[in-house]
Amino acid sequence: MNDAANRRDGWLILATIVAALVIDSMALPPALAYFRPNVLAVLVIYWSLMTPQRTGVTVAWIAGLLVDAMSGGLLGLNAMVLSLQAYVSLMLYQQIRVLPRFQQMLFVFVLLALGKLLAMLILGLAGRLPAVGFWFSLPASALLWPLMYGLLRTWRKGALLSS
Amino acid sequence: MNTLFIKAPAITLRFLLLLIISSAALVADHRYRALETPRGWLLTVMQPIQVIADWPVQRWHGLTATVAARDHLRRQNDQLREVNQQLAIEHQQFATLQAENRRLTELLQSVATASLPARYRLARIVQVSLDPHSQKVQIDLGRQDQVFLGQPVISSAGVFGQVVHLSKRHAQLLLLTDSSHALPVVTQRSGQRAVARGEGPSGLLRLPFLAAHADIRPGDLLLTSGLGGVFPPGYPVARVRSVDIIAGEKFAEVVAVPVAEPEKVQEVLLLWPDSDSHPEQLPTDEAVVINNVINDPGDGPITE
Repeated sequence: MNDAANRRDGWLILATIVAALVIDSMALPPALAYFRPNVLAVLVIYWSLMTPQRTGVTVAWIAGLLVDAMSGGLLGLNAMVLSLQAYVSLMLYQQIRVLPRFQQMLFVFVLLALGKLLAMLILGLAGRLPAVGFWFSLPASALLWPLMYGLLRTWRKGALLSS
Repeated sequence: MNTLFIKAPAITLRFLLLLIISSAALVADHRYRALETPRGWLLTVMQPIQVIADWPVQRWHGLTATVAARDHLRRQNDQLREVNQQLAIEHQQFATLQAENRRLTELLQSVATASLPARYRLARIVQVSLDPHSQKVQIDLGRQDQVFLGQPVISSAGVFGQVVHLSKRHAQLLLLTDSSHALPVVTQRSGQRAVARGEGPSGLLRLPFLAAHADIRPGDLLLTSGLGGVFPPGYPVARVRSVDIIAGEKFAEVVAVPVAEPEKVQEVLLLWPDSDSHPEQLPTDEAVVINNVINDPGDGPITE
């Protein structure tokens, strides 16, 4: 049963990553674009916390590299940030998983801010220090956490029961 | 719930390895622009995702076009006919003026000679969200349409940008307002040469290295000078908004507004310049200025 569940999780991981890439690359009016949540980052944190033996830093790194190529940004920037976020989640998953939902959200917020800080450092070194709007996506991304958690847990439970 | 013990040291090792690879990639991409080929592959892999992301926006444009009222379309049609007529009349004079211009510029031995590019092609802007830290857009033509890196792109109003990344079916353009973009220009009125650098999110251009006594004033139209070798000469770039001379400063503060409005444009024109329209000899002093900008180490890659 564990095997079947694992395989299902594998497909779900792939499908949700593709979906997150689509959502993240949809164009928004410039005024809203600053506040849009980073769906892929929250998703990578979710899978790293929930299925640490399946999702690794490599998956996060590849997804980040694809984002970099797609968005025309510095190649390696999102790859580095996402693999860092996956790594921290993997190291702490046992502590974070038992926390109440709100504190989990706080952890996600801090981890996303850490990623932003790293990205800002790299962009600064490259001479492209971002404007203050760079940070505005954090609240929406953190608020996405309970939503994504609820949705994906329902899906995974549903898949388990139907087998 | 599955609580298999995960191997922390192995993960740490892999993470450090990826960290090193990412750092190497960042340096290779930013400093040396050495990763355009793998970037093209990755972009090609991601094409389906971008097509899906672009789809709802295009449907929305299509929908608003279908429900546009009939007399709105008729009015638009009348307007277009009028503009077309006007252009046709002006075009009658064009060949004569071009020949005359060529004769005169030969007499003056001027470097900047406007000439028509060998080929144009219209490209649609794909509505996907790109790197928010730079001014970029994506278009629906790519390597298979003979698009090349560094290719000049204009809109119907003026210079738009140039191709920086390329996949099989798509290309990404760097707008002339990006902070890593610099473009050699010349004023239409006085022939004063300058370099127009992008200002980033503000959407403006700045003209550094212009002496306080340079012949430039607000309202001047800036044209491409053709000196960079990317853009053919004579295309409108921007209009000078302000010229501030600060006491004690060697250079004037000159700000210009691009004539192409990147936010409103939905279609752009790619140019395939005539290979013989590139200027053969650069006047030495301008060449030095451009080289200074290109070699400026602290400001990222200059693409012109």
